Amino acid sequence: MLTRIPIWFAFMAVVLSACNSGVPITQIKLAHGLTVDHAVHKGMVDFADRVKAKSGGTLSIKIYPNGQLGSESQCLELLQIGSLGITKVSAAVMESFAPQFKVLGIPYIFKNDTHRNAVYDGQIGDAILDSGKEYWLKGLCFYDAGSRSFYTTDKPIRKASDLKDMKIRVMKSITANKMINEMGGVPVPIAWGELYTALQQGVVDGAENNPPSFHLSRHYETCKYYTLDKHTSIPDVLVISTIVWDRLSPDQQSWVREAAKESVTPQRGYWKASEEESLAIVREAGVEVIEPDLISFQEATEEIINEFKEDAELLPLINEIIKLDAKGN
Amino acid sequence: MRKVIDRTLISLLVALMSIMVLSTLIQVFARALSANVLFTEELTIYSMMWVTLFGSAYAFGVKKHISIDILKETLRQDLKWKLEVVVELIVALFAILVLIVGGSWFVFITFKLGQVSSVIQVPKGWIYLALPVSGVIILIYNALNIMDTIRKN
Repeated sequence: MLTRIPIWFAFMAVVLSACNSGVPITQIKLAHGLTVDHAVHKGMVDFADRVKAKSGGTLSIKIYPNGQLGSESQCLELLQIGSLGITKVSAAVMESFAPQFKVLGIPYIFKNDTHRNAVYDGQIGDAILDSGKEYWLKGLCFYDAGSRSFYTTDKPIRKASDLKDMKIRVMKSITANKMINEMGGVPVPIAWGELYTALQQGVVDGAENNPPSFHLSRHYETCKYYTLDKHTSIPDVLVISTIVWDRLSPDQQSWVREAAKESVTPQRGYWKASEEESLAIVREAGVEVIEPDLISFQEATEEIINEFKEDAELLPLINEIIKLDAKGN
Repeated sequence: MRKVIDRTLISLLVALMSIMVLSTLIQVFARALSANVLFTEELTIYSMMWVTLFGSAYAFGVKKHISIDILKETLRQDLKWKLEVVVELIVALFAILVLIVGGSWFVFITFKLGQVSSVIQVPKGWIYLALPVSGVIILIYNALNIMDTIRKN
């Protein structure tokens, strides 16, 4: 018994000293699947710094990058049970949790980058972000994840009809699948990690992704044509668990909300820089970067938007997005 | 009782393993023929989850699961069976807390929030239902194992 007293004493001392430090520091865990040199990660670091500055150090965001705490959909599940505070996922992953996010994956729903940013920053974006609340996942802001474009091994794509009968790797998503079908190609679902070998061995003739992913995956070593047709612009979303959100004080909530919104502009800058850097590198490696006329691609995918319009839940949202003009007004 | 559960579990496991093999085969042929089959990957993964959970429940029932028996081997014969009972109780605690309580809560949330799988579009709650169900099966085996051990001694 005598030996136990010091241990208890030490324990009590630790507990008491924690109480003595005045204002308690609240920490929120943020997990995501990206590497630390990724533009979206830099955006989240900016977000964390802003939260810290606004709160005077009393609220801190600890970032766990590289998928340490699980894949994107696993992180969302952790948010729903309240084990994790914040995560960053692709809007494509949010689809299976909150259906309103589906509209962001429609090909060519955005007229141009100004229009797209106006949607994200405006009321429509807020409505989509808030729609997650019903599923215990509150969206905080949209981060730019660029636009996805086709890249191919042997045959360049200059217009939509060039895609005919080409085997194109798609994500495990019904919309992505449909889009390739509409354009006349053959969609082949392959895991991202297996794609390099698949391209090399001719299992598929091409794939699609944004410039930084095309560069970092080193797919440009086998794919010599990159067609910037920008068919979809699926953003990344910063999501907070409503369980954690409700525990925060009104002050803390507004710090988090403002910090997220403020980190959007710098993040877009990081993204643009990394996109330009990636394109320069792949060009230097001998990739022909093609800037095609988008009309043939837009016409080929028109059917998809009509199909989405049949969904009564999504129709008002789609109409509002289309109503905004190219200048975002 | 034990026989009924054993048999049901074996049939379920055989069926799930067959589904895994078949859907993987379909995927292999589909890719070779460049046909487009989306559902195989999810089907295989979810069958795998069920095989793992129900398989571990079964392995526990027939006492084929991994165990480290250094302690047990050094004990006297009359203490050995007591240790076995303690081990069963620890496993029962795990089954109750993690699989049944935690699993049910998780299944409840997933159903309530309506998450669906991205390709097959089946509610994920059905898939996670394997957690509490396998927990209950392990618990039943616990009771049967403890009764058997006590009866023998």
